[in-house]
Amino acid sequence: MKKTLLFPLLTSVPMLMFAGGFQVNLQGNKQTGMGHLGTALTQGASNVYFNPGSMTFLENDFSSELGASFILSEVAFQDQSTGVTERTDNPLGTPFYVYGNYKINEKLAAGLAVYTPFGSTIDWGENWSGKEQIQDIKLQAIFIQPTISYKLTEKLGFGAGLNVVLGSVELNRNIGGPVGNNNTVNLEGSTTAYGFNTGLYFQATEDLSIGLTYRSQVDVELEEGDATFDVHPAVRALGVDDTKFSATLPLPATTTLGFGYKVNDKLLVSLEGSFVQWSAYESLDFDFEDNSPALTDSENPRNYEDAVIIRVGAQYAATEKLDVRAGFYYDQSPVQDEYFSPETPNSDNLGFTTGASFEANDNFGIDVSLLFIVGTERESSYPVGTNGSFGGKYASRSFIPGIGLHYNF
Amino acid sequence: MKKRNLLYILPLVFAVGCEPEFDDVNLTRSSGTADFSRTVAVGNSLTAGYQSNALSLEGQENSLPEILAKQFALAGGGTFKTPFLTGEAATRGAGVSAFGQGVLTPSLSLQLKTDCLGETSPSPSLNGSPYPIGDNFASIASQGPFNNVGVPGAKLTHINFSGYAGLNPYFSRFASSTDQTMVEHAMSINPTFFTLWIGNNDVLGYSTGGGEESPDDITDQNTFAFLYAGTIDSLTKNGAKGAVANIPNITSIPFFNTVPANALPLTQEQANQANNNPQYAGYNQALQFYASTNVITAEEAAQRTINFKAGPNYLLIEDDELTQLQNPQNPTQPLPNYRQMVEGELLTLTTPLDSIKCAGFGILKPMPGQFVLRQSEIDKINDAVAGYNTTIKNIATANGLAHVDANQRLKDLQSGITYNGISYTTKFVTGGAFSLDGVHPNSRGYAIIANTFIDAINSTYGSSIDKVNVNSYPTIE
Repeated sequence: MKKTLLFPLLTSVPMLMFAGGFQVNLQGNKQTGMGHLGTALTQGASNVYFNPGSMTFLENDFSSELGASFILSEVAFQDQSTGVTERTDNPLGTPFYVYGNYKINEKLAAGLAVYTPFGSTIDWGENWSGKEQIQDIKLQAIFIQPTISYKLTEKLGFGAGLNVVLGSVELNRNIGGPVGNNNTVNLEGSTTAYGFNTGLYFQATEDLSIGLTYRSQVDVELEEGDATFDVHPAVRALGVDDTKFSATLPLPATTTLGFGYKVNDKLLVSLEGSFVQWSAYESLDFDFEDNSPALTDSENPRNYEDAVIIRVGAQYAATEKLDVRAGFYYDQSPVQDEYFSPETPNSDNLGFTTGASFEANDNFGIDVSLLFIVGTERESSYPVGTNGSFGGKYASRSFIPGIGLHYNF
Repeated sequence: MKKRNLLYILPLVFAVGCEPEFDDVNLTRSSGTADFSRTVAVGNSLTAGYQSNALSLEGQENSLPEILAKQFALAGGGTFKTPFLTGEAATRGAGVSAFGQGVLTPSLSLQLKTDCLGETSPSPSLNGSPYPIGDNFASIASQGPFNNVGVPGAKLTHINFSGYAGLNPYFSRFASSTDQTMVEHAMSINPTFFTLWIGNNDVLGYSTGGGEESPDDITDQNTFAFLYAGTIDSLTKNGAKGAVANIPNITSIPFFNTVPANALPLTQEQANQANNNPQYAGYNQALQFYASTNVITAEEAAQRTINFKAGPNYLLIEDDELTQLQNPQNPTQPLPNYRQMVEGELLTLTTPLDSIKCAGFGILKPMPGQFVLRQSEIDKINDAVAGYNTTIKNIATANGLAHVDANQRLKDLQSGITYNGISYTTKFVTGGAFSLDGVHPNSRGYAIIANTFIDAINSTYGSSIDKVNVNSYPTIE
């Protein structure tokens, strides 16, 4: 790491919150209710996101879904030398989705998906012990995905969509400094980035379906972000002044293989594995437009590792009008113990889900889900400077109710 | 139906908890062969928590003994009382340089100042006007006795001096009586453990006042050894264990390392102008004359010859250790004892830079001696510090006390220490470890020294006291 600074200003400006733990697995209340499984299932318009290859296999000519979730989350940190525990005070997160799918004919479908697969707010407070790492961070990423799907054979469909990603981030951190105890920087930027989402859907038998999707890496390139410093006049005089910054962040490619099986008329089970190529995320480098001896560009190693997610879930048709669901997933953390920063406090996550759908009539229904995430306890640290580190024990919990509507005809 | 869904998940929630929780960290630490149940800290401003030319509540709260007491608390340490300031003195800081005039001076803060050349830069300045003493220094003896017996300004001789409370307002605030000595106050706690860091002021007043020009003198080394041994005898007489810290070389503090001896930048034109000053030309000629007649050595003539050049120049000073000479042109007149400073000589932080930049100090006229430490003065100071430190080390060893090498720690800090990625040096302001007076550490600097105490205590007494996170302490404002 660069250590040419008068003081270690901005040597570890936090990454944006696109880590596994803050990858928001809430793109459809039906899927969320059963472990966020959907690659090999045909649940409705949300398939435009879950597997573009299956869009022509939906029952109705026109399908639509919309919904939102309400994230109540808390991360805790314990300093192992003092035993003091500090907790985040995160505001409510509200990811949402809107989907529409239209089967133009038996072989061709077009759809549009708007969803928020990444997004979070973490607020550790202004004066917590890791304030030089991060005080608070807010992230929003809205994916807009126009999509086309084609039925190659009676059993095999392929679909592809363009991802237009509207990303924005704002974060605050204390930059330390030899004078003044409240020298802070606010970094704010937004950008548009592009990627794609493709899928194959194979209806092997009447009961067995197989789905394979590939979501591309999206390089979120922030240009012309605003770095605003609120610092002691003496620190400003050292050459720390407001400037623009640019930074690039790779959102990893994800490959998912899923199986769906109808055990009988009432029971549907599914199993999925995802491979997330986090290793693309080696380092986060901030390039400031105006450098000074006290404000140099910063390189922050991330050294993420590829991770897997395993999901299992089931749906049971309790009555004609009521489906109930339950599921579980294991979401492996891509973060190594020695590169674990409190702005991405991401440990291996265990997700426990349940949900239900109620059909009001042939066209209209309500979907609800409940997701409980246990971020397993881990003791980790992030390197600071040449030989230091900031670390301790971390654990998290999230409690996420969600509600959605679907309308098909 | 939603109710039923909730029922599925409720047992789960209760099994793992709605909030993340951790097992308690085992925070009990061993005190080894030491006993921290009643600790006292005896010393000067460095023990009191003095920073930026004043004692303030924040400084007291982050004083070395307060930092240590919090760590001792996990190893059986008892309550620790500091005579905290209250009111305006607590928030603004209280310096007593104008106590006789009935006012307290506030702490220094960093403020933007424009110099005589019109350049603006951050510079330490009094944070507001002096304010009336009022009841800021009213006696709080009834709340005592206090464990922190750190009194700014105290020399070794003062801590056993009955009547010191009458001379030092910081001590009179909490002394039980005017006759009580600092050591007696400490002993009234019946300490099981003490820290003693004393002797800094025995060279400091002489040093900061410019050596010989200072009204203050260096304490004689034999006197120091005698008084130190007596002090340790008093503090250990009830079997108390303790830690004693030695004296950092004054050359390692920013007060003497910020203004360089060659603080005078000149252009070629300015240098020529200065060299052509008839006074200097005559002076240089006179030196040649006295050297040729063997009144002075060629070395002295060379040392005294005034020669300014383009670039940074060593300042002109008066040195009364040079040979006293008459003006050969006018033998009733003495020849001035001028020479330029040399590498290794020091200027104080209080050196008036505007006078150098704009009033010809150090070029047209000699720099006043109160701002200058000449090599012979530095030698005297270093010699005394070395002598004190030998005494402290020997007495510590003889009594089985922890010996805290504060001198070495400050030398380490001169080349740079890193805690969790944040670097600290002895550099003024930007080094991050010293307060704005350039003599006293800031809270983080005190934390660095506290860790040095903890290391020494752990290794001497086999205790397992945790060190502190330096970065979590406040810096200067």
